Amino acid sequence: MKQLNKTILYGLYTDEEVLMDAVRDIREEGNEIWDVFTPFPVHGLDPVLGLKESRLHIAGFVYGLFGALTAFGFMTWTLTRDWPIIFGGKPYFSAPSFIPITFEFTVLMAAVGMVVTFYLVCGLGPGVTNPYLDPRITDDHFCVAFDVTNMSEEQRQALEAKLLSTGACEQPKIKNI
Amino acid sequence: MGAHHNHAIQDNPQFVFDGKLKMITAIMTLIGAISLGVTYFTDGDYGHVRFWTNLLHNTAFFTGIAFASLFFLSTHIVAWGGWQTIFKRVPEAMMMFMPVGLIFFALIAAGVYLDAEGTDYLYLWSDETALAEDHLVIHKSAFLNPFNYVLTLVVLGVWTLFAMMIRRLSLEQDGDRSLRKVNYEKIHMWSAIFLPIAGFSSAYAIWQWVMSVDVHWYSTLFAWYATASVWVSAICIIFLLILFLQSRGHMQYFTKEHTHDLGKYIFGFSVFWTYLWFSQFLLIWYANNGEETQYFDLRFDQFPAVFYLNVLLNFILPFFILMMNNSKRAKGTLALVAVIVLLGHWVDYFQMIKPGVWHNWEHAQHASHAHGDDHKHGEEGHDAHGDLLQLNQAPKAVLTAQPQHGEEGHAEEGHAEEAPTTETTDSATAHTPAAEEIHAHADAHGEEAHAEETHAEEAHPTQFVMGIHFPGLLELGTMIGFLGLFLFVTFQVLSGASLMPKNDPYVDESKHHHVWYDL
Repeated sequence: MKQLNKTILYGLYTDEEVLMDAVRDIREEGNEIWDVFTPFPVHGLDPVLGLKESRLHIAGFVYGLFGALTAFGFMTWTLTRDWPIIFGGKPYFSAPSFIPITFEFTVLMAAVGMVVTFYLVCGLGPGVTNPYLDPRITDDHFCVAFDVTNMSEEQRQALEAKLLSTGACEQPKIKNI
Repeated sequence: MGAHHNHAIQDNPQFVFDGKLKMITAIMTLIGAISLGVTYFTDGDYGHVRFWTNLLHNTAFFTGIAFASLFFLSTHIVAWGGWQTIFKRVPEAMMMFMPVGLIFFALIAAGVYLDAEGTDYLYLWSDETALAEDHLVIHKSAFLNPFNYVLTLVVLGVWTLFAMMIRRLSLEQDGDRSLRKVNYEKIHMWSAIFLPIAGFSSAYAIWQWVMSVDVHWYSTLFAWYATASVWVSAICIIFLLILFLQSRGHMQYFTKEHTHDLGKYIFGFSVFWTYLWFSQFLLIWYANNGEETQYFDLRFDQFPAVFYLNVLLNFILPFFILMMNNSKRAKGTLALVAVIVLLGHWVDYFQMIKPGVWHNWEHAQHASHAHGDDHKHGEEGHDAHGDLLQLNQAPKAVLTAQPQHGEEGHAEEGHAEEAPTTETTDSATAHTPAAEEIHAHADAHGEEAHAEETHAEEAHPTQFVMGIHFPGLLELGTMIGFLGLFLFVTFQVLSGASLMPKNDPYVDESKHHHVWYDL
């Protein structure tokens, strides 16, 4: 199992509306939330958490552009320079006939590139076992987690109290991951 | 976010079609009527092809938009869509243009049936001479004949009935407070019945109305391609009308979220249109069969300006402008794209119709002057057919007429020189001068000058004629007229009921529609 060497304090919630209010409440007091885990995407959680827009689609555009230029350039090079062949009586440089492959390769590069990037950024992939806080997070519980590695005992207790006062369904726990 | 502040929204649900608006739309309609009239009295030298194509072009385009509006409502209702509910009155109003389109098509059909002057060029299959001698037209005459053409009016009538039915049920729903939502279920049922009927009958109608102007040519893709065109246009008009209504204090529940979804439609279906347009082109270009290639050959040789403008307006601009998420959510940007794309699809219909009809007219001229002409294809009166045979015999000359000329040119030029006919060689070399000529003429000359010039010189493949090879003032006037009439009908219907539907089960969902947070 991968080690993050962090000490995490987390509280569990059973309702997304309660979670949203809790996150809003916690952040208003200036507490920094390490992460929030939910069993399904919660609409509107991102702006409440203050997340920035993902840059994954920019990467996707770059991969797509790479795919388009590679495919078109490669076909142009092979069919006009390296090994010119007349297909169907067409000119060597027949742009229309390059379009389908260019399109497919663009989509392939953009899709595969984005998936690989996403996996790398998230630390996912075959053979990787990530640490988890509580198995119920993947079922019906919502989790707010704080990184308390460098915090004093008083600060930890204050965060615990905050989790409970905002509707955590059980006593918050501490886990080293 | 707008969704959280709906309680504070001041929305005026009653649209008033006031005197000023009535005046504006009436003047627009009048401009169109005058343009059509002037066209008819000035294009006698061309056998009234400009008049008939303008009439057909705009009738098909705006009737198609009305059809697409009905299709828009039906698909969303059948798919249990809810987000469109707060603005569903707009497509509802737009689809009521269909009866007006029916009248215009009835006029065209009457012209075809009664063999009015010019309709023989508009639809070569209605020409007795062609019917007697042109083998392809003879073979197609079981489908392409005046009787079948009149039958498309029945199709249009059936669509109109569906439109009226769905509109009536939607209005009844406003007064239906029952929990069972019987009206909604009825609308759902009628929409579900309409969709398959629309799918098949729209292809039938568009083949008759538009594709058959290029009578020797056919494409199985054509119906989807032409329908995708009006579908995008309908969404553009829906969006622009909503913005107009918002500027007058209506439609206040329409937020960035709805804008975003309409933007995705315009983006997505522009790409879909391009996919169909390119699929049609690619297969024909690759297979290089004479009877198919002639369609694009004609457009490359004589209509390059509209041909490439079509791709620029309908694919390149919307694709790159709307690629980013934020452009789809910005009303100003999307409005700009909507105007571009709307104009683009009008140009698309222009280039679907004008070249074929012009070709028919030119061939008729060649046939009647065939004795003195030095280029002879086949016997008299067989021009259309004879040309096809040539294309089949010399496919390489046809393909070298494509605009790409790289350093591999030596291979092509060799073929072009060997080509057995003068006309195909002309088309290979004349491409660039033709395009330049178009721009020069478009800038420098008025319309009447061309009419005389062309008449004096007779029709020549590279001769530029304003209003045929590129939309002229009269084309713009006719479009403004049809748009005015379209808006007149739409505004009239819009003012007839509350803009905000009542008792629709999806009203609240639509008011709170939310897809994206601006992070």
